[in-house]
Amino acid sequence: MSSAAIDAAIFTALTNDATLTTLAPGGVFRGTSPQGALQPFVIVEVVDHLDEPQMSTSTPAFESVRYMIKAVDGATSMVAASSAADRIYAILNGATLSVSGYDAMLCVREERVAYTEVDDASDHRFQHNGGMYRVMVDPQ
Amino acid sequence: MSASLKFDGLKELMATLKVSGKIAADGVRSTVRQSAYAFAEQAKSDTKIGKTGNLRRGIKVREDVGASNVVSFDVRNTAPHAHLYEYGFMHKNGNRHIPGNFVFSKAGGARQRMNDRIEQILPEILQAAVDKS
Repeated sequence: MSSAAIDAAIFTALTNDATLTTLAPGGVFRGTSPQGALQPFVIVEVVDHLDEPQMSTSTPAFESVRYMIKAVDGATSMVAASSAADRIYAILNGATLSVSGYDAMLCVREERVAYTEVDDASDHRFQHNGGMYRVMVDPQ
Repeated sequence: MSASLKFDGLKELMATLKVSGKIAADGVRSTVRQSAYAFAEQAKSDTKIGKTGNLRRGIKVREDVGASNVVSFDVRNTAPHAHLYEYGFMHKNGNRHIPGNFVFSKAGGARQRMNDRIEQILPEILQAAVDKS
């Protein structure tokens, strides 16, 4: 059993979706993207990971992971990033993830994240759109 | 000739219960304030000092004095680029994504510790008020 299986389940769900691949052709990356990656792309980051202890065994009762998952697009308009974010929501919110070594409990968006990044020098803009997702799993 | 039967024991207790919201709010104010300042200090130490130091200096605590019987303290970063540090941004030269630091998104632990502490002290605060009535 490895908590990495939870991350892998998220990546699998996102990368296996043909619609998201069309909306975010750059791909799905953890934390950072390769230099010059095609845009929009999707970023997945672990915000926090909590193990709920239980008395009888060292195995946690459940694991709760908060991810920030967002689409990033270098554009003046939020439309493309927003469409990709909507697709991420459709894939993950309420999904029953297939996590090796765990039973899935919950996968929901807890809050929305959307902002525009402006480079003051060049006036170039990047649109960030997605959300904070809570994933809870029960170790088998 | 008359006989009067009267039970007045609940009067003062009812008066205490009427203001129990204020008693609870006053009683937990210092816990909430301490939690807010402790979280702000943690957020400051988790925030790197850049060229100007504005990002760390921008972390401030403010009491939100809105509704009655509500104790609320806001911890916020007033620096204009705080959200980029929190959620990540695109590196200008490399054109690649720099990960977020999630300083404020990790407030859940501090909130939980505060709630645990309040759960512990609130019954004592209310009991003391009832005993006094």
